Amino acid sequence: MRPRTPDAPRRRIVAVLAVALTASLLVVPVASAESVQTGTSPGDTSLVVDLAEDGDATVTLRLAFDLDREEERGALERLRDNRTAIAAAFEEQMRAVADRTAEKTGREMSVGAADVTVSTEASTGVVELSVAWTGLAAVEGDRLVVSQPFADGFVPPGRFEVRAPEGYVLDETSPTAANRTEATAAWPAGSSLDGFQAAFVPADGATSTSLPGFGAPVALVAVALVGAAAALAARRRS
Amino acid sequence: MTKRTTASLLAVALLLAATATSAGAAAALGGASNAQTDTGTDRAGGVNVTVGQQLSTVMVATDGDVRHEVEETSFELRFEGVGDDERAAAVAERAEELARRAIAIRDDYENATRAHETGEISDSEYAARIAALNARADDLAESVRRLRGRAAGVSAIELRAEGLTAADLRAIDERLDAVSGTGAAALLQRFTGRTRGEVRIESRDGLSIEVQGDDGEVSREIERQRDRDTNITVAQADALETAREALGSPPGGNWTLERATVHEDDGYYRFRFALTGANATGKAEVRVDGSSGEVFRLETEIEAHEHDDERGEGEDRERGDEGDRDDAREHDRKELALLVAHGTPGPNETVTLLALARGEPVADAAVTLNGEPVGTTGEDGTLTVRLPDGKAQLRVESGDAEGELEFEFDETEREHRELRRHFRARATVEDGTVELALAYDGAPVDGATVSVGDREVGTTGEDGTVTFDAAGYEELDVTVRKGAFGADLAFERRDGSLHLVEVEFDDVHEDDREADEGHEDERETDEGDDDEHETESRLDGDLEIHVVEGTPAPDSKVVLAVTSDGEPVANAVVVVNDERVGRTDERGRIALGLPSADRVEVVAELEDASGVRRFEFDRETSADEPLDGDLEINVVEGTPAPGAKILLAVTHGDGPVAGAVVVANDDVVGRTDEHGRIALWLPSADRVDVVAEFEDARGERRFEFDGVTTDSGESDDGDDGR
Repeated sequence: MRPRTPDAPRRRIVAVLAVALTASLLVVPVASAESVQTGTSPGDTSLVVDLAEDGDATVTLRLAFDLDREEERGALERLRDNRTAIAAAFEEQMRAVADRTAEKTGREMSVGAADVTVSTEASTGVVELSVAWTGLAAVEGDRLVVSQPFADGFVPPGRFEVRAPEGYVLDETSPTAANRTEATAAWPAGSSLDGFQAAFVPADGATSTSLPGFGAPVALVAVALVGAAAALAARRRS
Repeated sequence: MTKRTTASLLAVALLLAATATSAGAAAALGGASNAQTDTGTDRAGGVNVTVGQQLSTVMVATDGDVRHEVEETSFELRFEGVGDDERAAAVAERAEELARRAIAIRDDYENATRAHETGEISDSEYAARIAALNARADDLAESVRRLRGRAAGVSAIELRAEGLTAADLRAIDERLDAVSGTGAAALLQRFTGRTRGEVRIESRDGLSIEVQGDDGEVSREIERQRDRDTNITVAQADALETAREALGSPPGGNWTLERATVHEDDGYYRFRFALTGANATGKAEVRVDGSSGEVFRLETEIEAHEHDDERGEGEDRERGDEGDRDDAREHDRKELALLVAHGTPGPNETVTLLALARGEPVADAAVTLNGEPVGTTGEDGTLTVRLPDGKAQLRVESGDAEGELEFEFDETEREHRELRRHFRARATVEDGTVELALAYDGAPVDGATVSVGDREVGTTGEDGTVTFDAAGYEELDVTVRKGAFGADLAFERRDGSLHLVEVEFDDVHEDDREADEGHEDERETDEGDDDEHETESRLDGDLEIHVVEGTPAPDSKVVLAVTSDGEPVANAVVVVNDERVGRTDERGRIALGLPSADRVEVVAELEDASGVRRFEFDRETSADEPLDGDLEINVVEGTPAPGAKILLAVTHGDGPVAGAVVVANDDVVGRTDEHGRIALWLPSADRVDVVAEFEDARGERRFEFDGVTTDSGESDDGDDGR
């Protein structure tokens, strides 16, 4: 059996803090991503960009409707019947945007797989129009950077949200996001996004170079905890 | 103490490290931003449509389109789910909502224009906002169009009781004028990526938009504020020259005047031109203020022929195939302008017209008024005609050249004529007690408060009747009120019976209009552009749908005729139970099979005009019961005129009435055939009263031919209650 030394309690505290800090880095992104809600109040509109590791993305326009009345529910059902035509029109227009974005960035892009889904949540109906957009984000090593077409005069008509791929965390955004978690950044309707960029990095490599995803609140908590631990250890030793 | 300092330094170092990392990331982003972002500064004299703006516009337009569709369907379901008595309220409520949105769009336009004028937003941002407003305006205009169609199937009295008139719906359209023109529509196409090319926009001295597509299509629009003077003091010929100057010369060919319109009430002239002699299709419209002589609205649209095959599914498709078919004809068309040379146009006024070709009078040009010949121009190119009290459409032809001149008069009076046509008030008196029965389009008018003089005497019941003591009256002046609807009826007692001698309807918005004029003069001089503003350029109002062959029943085949004021309407889109079945032919007719349903709704639409006809087959009527109520008499072929041959259809409810006895000016003409039709030569008289009777049902129709005027479609005051 190994003899106990005066340093043992300090080591235990540091180890616990290290575990807590690591856990905070790993757990927070998942929990926070779930806590970010796109608008589901009737009348709300949101645009959501779900990124994939390879820079592809699913771009979804989400519209919420009031379903208090019977005829409103019926109307949404009829929309469901007409979703093919709506999806086709949406895809055509998004393709035109993608073509211009490709010209501007020099990256190959394409838009396809347009879809329209209709769902209900209590007395709210939600219509989602989505397209698969290949090459939306630039892949720079292990970083993903989203910029165009949002950087150039884009004014979101509703909440605008960019979500990291699984295993990635948000590194930084410009302009500063109004709401952010470890894996998502969001801006409200009407925001000026000139010069927009949102960068994401792999979560597992976050601590090695630039503390990716080390958001200010978590950093402050960690610093406070490390500081407190060091002070406690110093006091005990003295 | 030393240890505590060490710990604190560690914390600070950690914080600095974290901060430095973020700063580094931000710096990298900033660099990348500079490298990748072209912020889209406006080019000299033009607008750079950035890809971000394009995405924003797509989002706004898609959002609006989907919400519009859901909302329209929702209203449609609501409308179908309520009884006839609630439909008027539903329509009025919807109209109110649409009016609010039109005001919001107008406000947004004015705010954007102010921001642009003061330099708060760039040309590019302003153009993007106009494009987005055009998308909203398009959806709203479509909602108004659909609502107009639904309103056509609702009793006008019930609508007026709810405070809604056709003018209210037109007013919604008018508020959208600034952002619904050719230029704004072209901007939307450009900002959603459907077209590419140059965009120019200015807000100094009114809104000016020019969009030149890479495909050769050029759209141009100018909107300026008018003065407040609605008098016409400028000669129409001078206004035409001003319009030509503003149009300038097209890149190839000429602008040939197609139609001129005089808006007497609103005090302006409108000229429509077609591009001729060019390898392109083009249309132009110019409006000139009648007092200042200034152009306040100009729209042109030129499309190169070689790109016709490449048209997409956007508004080019909307512009229609008929435009293409007309291309060849337009190409060689020669101009013949018909203008007012002397006189003040107005209902029943006499004016002198002048036919001009290249500025020179044209003699011996044939002129028709509402389809009827009214003479030929003299040596000096003039012809004097008397205008009717309704819509006046004049057409002039000389050789290959042709031209049109239109007048639009008081819209309220037109609506009142329509009311008179369908409103029935019959009074019987027995032992000093009067029973007054009110009906509209064959349905009883219930809940109407009836007053005699200043004394309220009762309210009509579900059968539309009210009884009251009127002993001693030789004349009865009755006032009928239901909500905002009001009518004054004058009865005379003759031969022991009461005869309706006069009907006058209240102007629903008289009070509102006076108040509005006071409020809005300050901010919108074009607010006074009311009733005719939209109607003269496009067909509007109600379309009538008649069964001219076959007997409507589930799965039956019928031929329908679509008319407007008695005139056939060609190319009208016909929709049966929400499914488009085709367009009417040149005679306004369409053959179709009715679906296997107990209830069939047929909607006909062309431009801004629409009509609805419903057939219900679940009612079982006993063959033993005599037919009663009102018969309708409609002209299905020919143009009524003294001595003219016409074909009439007699109908009851939804079906033709076979075997009805038809009498013209007290002479029995014969009986209707199995399709309820009868051909007759109208007597050579200024007034012809046609009566149709079958069992207990009866209908009347009066035709008046006064000088050059022809009331070809409607009965007048005199046919009520006789």
